[in-house]
Amino acid sequence: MTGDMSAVVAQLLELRERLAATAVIAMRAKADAEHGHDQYAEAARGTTHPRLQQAMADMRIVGDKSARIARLLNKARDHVTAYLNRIAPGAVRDGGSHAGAMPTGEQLLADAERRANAKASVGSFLRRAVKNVENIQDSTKTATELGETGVKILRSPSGPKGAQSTSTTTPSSATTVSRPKMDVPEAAAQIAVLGIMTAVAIHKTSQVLGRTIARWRNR
Amino acid sequence: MNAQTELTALIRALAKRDWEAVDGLLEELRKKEWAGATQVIGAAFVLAVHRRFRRGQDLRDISNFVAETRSRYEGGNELPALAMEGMIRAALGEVDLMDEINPDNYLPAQIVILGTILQDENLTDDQLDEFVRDVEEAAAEYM
Repeated sequence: MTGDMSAVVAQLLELRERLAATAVIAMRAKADAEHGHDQYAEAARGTTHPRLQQAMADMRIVGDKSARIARLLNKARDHVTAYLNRIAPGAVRDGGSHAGAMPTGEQLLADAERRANAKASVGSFLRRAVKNVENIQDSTKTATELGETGVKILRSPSGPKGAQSTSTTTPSSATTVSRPKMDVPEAAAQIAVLGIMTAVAIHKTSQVLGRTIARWRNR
Repeated sequence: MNAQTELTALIRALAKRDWEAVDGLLEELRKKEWAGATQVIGAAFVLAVHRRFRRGQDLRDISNFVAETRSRYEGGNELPALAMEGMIRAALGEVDLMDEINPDNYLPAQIVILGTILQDENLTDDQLDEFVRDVEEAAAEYM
């Protein structure tokens, strides 16, 4: 591979990573928007004030659009990957078949989506659990007794099968990816910054590609 | 005084099957009467369920998991299968099912399911740290 070509491949590989990172941030923005929507809905219970209704509608749109941005960014990454595979086979090391391989765009997105769904579910689950526990009238057991019952069961496996903690069900295939914490404004700011960086990277890449193609034509 | 620190430490110890640490933590939790367990264990349970299952998951996958989990432990049959299945489905979004479950089953079933999923996943220390951070963040809003 020539030096020019190596530079193009390096730029495109970097672009892929930026696209993946931006897609994940967009998916987190979706989660935060959905979470925010739930909180607005909770706060707005019992009122039909148009401002609050509009706020909820806006949060819903933010969530939907963030998810769409994430999917489009991922699609763009797939196109870059396909192009890279064509001009430099082997340059992209995606998928689980290689030790230490980077997660694919789909895996990153699936992980971000799983986290988004989980985060959105926690609130409604806990609100209902807390309410039901507080309303219980006839319980004779304390939280200590209930908690210790669970721990006692968990630490007493039944025979060799249990002792080995095997399972018949297939564990989730989603790849868990470390990520920093952030809230809606931070996520939105990062999307904006990464969007600019991605645009710059695309611009630079196209310039390098243009120069390289021009040199090839002149040979 | 809530027991969030002890509860998150308990989640770590259960995931690693560190029973010596579990014993020490149970002592501390007794003193604090497991205050905050509904929120902390509940949040951990929901996040763990989402690691294992997807929204709209085939119900047979859930009932198979519950049957296998109950058979895995000597006292597994003390936990009602329907309550366990209902709680998993509630964590995946069917939250109304919580109203059909005796709240006395919440904590024991959640601990058993949570521990089983985390032990099966055999998380690295970093992954476990990240999971616990997520739990703390999620539970904090409802304490």
